[in-house]
Amino acid sequence: MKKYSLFSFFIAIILLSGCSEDFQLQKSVFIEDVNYPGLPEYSEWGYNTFGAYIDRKVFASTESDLPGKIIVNKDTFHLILKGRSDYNTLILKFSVVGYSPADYPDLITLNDSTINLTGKACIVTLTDGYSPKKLTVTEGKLYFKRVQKLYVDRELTESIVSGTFNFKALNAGEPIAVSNGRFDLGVGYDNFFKY
Amino acid sequence: MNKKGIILCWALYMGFCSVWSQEPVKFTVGFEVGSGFVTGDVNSSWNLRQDVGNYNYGYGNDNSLSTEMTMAVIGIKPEISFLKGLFAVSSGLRYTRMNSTISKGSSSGSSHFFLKDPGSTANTEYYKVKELWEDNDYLGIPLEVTFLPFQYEQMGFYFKAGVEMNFRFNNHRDIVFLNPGMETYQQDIFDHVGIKPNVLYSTFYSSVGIRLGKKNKTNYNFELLLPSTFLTKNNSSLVVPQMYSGFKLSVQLMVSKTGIIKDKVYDTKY
Repeated sequence: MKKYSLFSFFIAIILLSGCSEDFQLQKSVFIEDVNYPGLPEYSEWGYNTFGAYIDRKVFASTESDLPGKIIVNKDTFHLILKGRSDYNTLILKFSVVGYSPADYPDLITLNDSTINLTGKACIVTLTDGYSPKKLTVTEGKLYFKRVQKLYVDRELTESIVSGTFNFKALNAGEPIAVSNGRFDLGVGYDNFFKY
Repeated sequence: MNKKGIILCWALYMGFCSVWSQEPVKFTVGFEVGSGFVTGDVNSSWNLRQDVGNYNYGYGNDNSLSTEMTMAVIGIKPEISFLKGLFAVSSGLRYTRMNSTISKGSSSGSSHFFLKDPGSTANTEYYKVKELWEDNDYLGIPLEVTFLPFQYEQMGFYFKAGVEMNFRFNNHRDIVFLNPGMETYQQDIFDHVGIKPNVLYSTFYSSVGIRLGKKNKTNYNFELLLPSTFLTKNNSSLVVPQMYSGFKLSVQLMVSKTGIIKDKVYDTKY
């Protein structure tokens, strides 16, 4: 009996290690943009960083929070960016109705595509503290500049999703500008969810 | 060179000739070994996933890489000294091995880093790499001037300045993959990166040293290289060197002491 349980334990370890990507790739590599202090440089390396200015405040990824998640729920695609601004945790969510990739390798269909954030199929939500607030976007775009598959030692490991975003919106009646937004996310088994 | 420079050089040359013709000169052969340590940065031609000199705000998540570049030197240098040993000029033949490596920083918890193959365009190809290293072998000719102002019974202190020109005759480099099965892609990566080290390598250096031994006997030298500069670029395909320093040990064997007076030459063998 003991032999079987030990065997099952090793099989489970092997299966889990096969599912998980290299831990080094999950880390964030933050290279500050000298022209935009506090924000990471725009990159296409899968550095797991993002940043933008919300009015004059920096909103950027941190090492402790998982910076990006992609959730596909029924026919809606959600890109979730979690970071901090003035020590407060903020979550910015872009939801696109009518786009539902089956798994992370299918994200390459987003390559070089622009989403108009004022469109009816798009919802932008900002969570400050515990209450998510739907923003009324007056103008702005989300641009997936480059989406590529990442192979490590010749094995498909994740997709690298890189792009930019800018928009103006009303947050509880107050106008805000989100500018110089950029993201470079590795999306794989650990941060792609479909249910 | 302007007119003043030519006149100055001519005056110096005439001065040396004049002094040389009146003072005995000493001819020695020196055998040297030494080592140098080079400071430099990672050559940006290599696409490496790392923090490139900017802050990393995590704890214990250092992604930085470390570079190491060293030189090992062995040479033979005939030397002529004059003005009662105050000045000496030497030249000869020198073999230099220059080794450079890129590896994960010692503060990092992991054993490997990611090397991006620039040949892949539509997708991105990373390879897990433990280390990149390169050896370059050079044969060179140094030209050195030594000034020995403080000479005592069995000891002397000197300053030295020199230049050297070296020619590369061997280059070997290797990518140490975490997964040995990736060795087959090594040459493709080298081809895609495209960078090769310069065939020529030249430096200007200065040093301070101590000379032990009696005046006309075998002497032993220990010298420290002051921070010195590279005159050529692209001396390593991995590291962009900035400065180097190091040390040298040498032994000098007396060959002859020669005096030239009124065009008559006499030799004294030791």
